[in-house]
Amino acid sequence: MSKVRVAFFDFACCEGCQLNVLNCEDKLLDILNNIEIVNFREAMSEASDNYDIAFIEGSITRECDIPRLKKIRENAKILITLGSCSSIGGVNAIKNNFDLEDVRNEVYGNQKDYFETTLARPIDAVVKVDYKIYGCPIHREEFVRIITSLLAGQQPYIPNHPVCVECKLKDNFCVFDKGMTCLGPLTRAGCGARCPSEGNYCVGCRGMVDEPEVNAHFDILKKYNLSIDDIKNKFEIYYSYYRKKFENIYNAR
Amino acid sequence: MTKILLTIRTLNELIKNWSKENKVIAPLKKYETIEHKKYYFDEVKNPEDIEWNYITTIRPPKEYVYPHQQTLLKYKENQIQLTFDNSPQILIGLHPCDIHSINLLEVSFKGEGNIDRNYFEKRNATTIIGMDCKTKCDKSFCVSMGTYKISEGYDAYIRFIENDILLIEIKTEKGEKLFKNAQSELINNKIISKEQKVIEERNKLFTESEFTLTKNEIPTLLEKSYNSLLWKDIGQKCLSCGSCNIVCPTCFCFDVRDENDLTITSGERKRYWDACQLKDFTRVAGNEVFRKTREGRNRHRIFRKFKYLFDRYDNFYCIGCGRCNRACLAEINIVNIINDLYKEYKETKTIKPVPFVVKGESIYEPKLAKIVKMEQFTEKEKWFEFVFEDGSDLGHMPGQFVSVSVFGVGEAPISITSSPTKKGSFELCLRKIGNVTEKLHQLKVGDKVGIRGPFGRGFPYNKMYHKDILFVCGGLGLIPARSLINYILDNRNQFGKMIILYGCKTPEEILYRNEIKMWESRDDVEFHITVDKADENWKGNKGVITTLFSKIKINPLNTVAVIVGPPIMYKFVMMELFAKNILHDNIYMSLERRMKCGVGKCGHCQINGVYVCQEGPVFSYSEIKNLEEAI
Repeated sequence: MSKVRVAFFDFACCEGCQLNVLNCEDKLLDILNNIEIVNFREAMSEASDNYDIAFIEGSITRECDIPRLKKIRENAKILITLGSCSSIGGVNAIKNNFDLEDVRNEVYGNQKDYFETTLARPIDAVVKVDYKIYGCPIHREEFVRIITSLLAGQQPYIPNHPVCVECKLKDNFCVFDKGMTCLGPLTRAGCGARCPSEGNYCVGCRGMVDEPEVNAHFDILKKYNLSIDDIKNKFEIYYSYYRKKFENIYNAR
Repeated sequence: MTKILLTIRTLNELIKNWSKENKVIAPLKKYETIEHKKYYFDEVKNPEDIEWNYITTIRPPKEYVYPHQQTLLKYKENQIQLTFDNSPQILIGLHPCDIHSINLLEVSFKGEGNIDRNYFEKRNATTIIGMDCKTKCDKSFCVSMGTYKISEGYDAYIRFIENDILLIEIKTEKGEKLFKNAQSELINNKIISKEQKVIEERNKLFTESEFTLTKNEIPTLLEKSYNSLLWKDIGQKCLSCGSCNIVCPTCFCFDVRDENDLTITSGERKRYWDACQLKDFTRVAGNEVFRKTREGRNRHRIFRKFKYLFDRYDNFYCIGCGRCNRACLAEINIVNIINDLYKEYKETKTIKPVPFVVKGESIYEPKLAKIVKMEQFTEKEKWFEFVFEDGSDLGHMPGQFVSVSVFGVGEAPISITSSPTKKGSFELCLRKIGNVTEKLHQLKVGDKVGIRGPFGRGFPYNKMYHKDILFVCGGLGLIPARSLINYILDNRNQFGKMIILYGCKTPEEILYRNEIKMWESRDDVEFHITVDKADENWKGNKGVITTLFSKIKINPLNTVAVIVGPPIMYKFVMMELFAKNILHDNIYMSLERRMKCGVGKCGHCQINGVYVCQEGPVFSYSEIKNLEEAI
């Protein structure tokens, strides 16, 4: 049986998710028994356009990215996003909250005319995405699990429930009871409640579950006397791309 | 059953020995921040770390008999290897409620003959040492559930006689094995009486029932509460986060997934705890979700714990530990749910009849009244004004009715259409439809009729002060409603907003045209009218009365709805009112039934157990929602 050909690509991102793929050190050789990596700029110099699975890190922030992305989509049988930027827009989309000209000025100063910029978007805002691996950065174990599922012809299991489930499994004290605001009740699990388990709050890096109970969450804030602006700001970090979707609820509060 | 007396030091030595061949699990303490300490079950490294005075843990010890992730079998291509975990372990310091929960898991994993070996291999390799609670935990309800004490399910049970001296009850062979080398101190009468005292002290902590009913009444209560509006309120608060399930000691639902290893051809089939509050719990491959609403999922959780599994296994699947109540950010609390349902149920059940006491010789004796004024409203409806011969007032409430007699023809129940604020006379408006009304329509000013009443319960306007009032009147329903409308208009500043929706079949059937004009012209009345059918001369709304609901805005918490109309109308209007979230207690409706006596004797008007003439004709929705015959 010929090996499955896999390629990695990146757009606007920190390349941390790809680094995390490389960090699967103990498993990497076993993975490579089953797949052949044919394109991975961060790890090798050869490059081929003949691949079955394309992993994409990063979001689309320039018009000139789009033809390249469409080409990848054409070549790949399965397209999978890696991490928050490519799956939900991620931190890049914070700029969508500002005037784009101001953003360009701030970042590039008097060189700004050499650099284009546009609203940041997740990959599925441009082409069809088959699976999303969430997280900032991705969770190594989850990456391995999803890749083994795909190789075995199994639908990968991607949780669609809030972080609370995993947080309770960790016997954690509820973050709200410690006086902090937490995005856990709305955020997609899969991370093993990493941040709350380390004494932090959930920053929502995986984006929201498919049908988040945003209104009920706001009621909780009221109960704990927490600022609603605080929660809005927290959402803006990873979820600015979806801001419009929740604007009505925000404004009603 | 034997008892031994040990010092804590001896016990700690024993635990150290046990750890050599067993995994020993006990309550430990951890500080998350300076103020936030938590207790949790984990493997004991040093027996001195055990928190004998622990209050309760976030998660129950369930993890150690039924782990959240458990391998059912291993596979390599098509070769299967069954997998069981039977490594010996000892659970120390379990409170009675948690032992109860493990007993319950056993019942369900034994099921109705389908024995879950994966559970039992692990369970049978487990030794359980229980102990009493030192305090009652916040939001728990173990008194009502009777789970603060235990008589089976443990192998040994620790009772602290003094700070560092404990009396251990050895219950089973497993327990005996653990303690066989232990040197007991002498157990004298003093110790025995001290133990009695310790038990008494414990019992003093657990005296107040949390539920307002006994647990055995709960299954029946739930049966009657499936459609309670309370589920909707709970649903709206719920985050669907599954926390209540994850911390529950008796939840045992699971999902099964194959996890391949990197050879791709082999792997493990594992079960993972699942949670019925998560939407995906009922999602199938075609993406259909069978329990879509938070309302339905919350109801399912409570029903499963207190009814479905009770019916199946004869046990309540709740131990009253209160972990779900404490874990819920939205403060959804089983004690409140059960008590609120019970309160609602009691209110539904007990309708206080207003007994009508007739002055005079007999309850069947009519009093003569004279027609002083009449007006033909429509082809079939005629309006009458009456005065009693003795000049007295009728003394009625809006919504009450009288029995009108025409001697020689008979007697008919007719609702009163004038407001109690009108003194000296009263008004009726009636459709020519039967024997008596046919005759009444033929009478002239000055003719006399017999009046009995007023009867029944009217609209409780004293409960409506300062509230917004929404009238929904269909056809003849405007007749009794007008009594209340006029009462409110005469006391306008005591009530909030007033909205009147009125629907008729055709423009020809509209009643009280002059008064409607007046209502329409007032700033403090919002009036909408619609007709089902009309020719082109009609310029107003067309359609059934429910179409008017899109025109109005209401504040659901402060609105009282008054509904009067033909039977068919109620069901559809109720759906609109539910959609607007008006409280059940604030929905009043007047029901029509055949009535002869008006005093709860003749039996004609009975709806299930209720006499409409006596307890009605006006009911709040919460009073009749469980009466199958009502609407």
